[in-house]
Amino acid sequence: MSERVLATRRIYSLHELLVMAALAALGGGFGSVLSRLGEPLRATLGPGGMQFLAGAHVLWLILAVGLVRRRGAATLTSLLKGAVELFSGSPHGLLAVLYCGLAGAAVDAVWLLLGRRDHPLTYVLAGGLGSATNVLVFKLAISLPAGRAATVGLGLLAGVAFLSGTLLGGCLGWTLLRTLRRAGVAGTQAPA
Amino acid sequence: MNAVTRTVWTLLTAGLLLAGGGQRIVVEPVAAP
Repeated sequence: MSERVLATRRIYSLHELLVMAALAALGGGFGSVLSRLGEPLRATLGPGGMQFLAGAHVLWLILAVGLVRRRGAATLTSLLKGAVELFSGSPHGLLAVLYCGLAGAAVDAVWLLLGRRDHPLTYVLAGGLGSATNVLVFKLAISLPAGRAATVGLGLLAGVAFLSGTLLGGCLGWTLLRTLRRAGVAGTQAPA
Repeated sequence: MNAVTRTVWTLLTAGLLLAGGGQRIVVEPVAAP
């Protein structure tokens, strides 16, 4: 097979793959440290205290979407981030892969649904929804009694996670993206 | 090597190497004492 045919079959360029790998490595290392903060956070802020920092997990996915700007970038980055978290001793164990994968899929879905626009609102919404999905995995992982109180509680947790995602994921992510682009670190690729 | 294998392989090796190296350089010296 000729080199030209191989080049057309590439899904991501090597540069994009390495950007995704670096973001996943950073996010995974950061995420497993962040998960270990769960105990002190729950002690000070009550049950669900971790949700206040849930958005920090999504920041890396927002950066992956903004820097790579290709379909599936956030999902792949987040799955790798989950694997790094699993291997670096996250207290969530195998569930970390599920938490991360679902968040990445949500970020990708929002970005695609909003027409891949390079607008702060896209990143803010993607960050919020990506962050809120962790409540779904939480509900799957623990057997909550079915009832109104449990549903309201989960809704509240999802709300806190959404807000955290908009701030720590979307707003912070957008600011970082703008700074990286202005500094020329993110390359000169034009927004799609 | 097809495109999917290449993508997954590059991502896994680069990501895990970066994560492992980063942990060894940044976390271990801090945790050592």
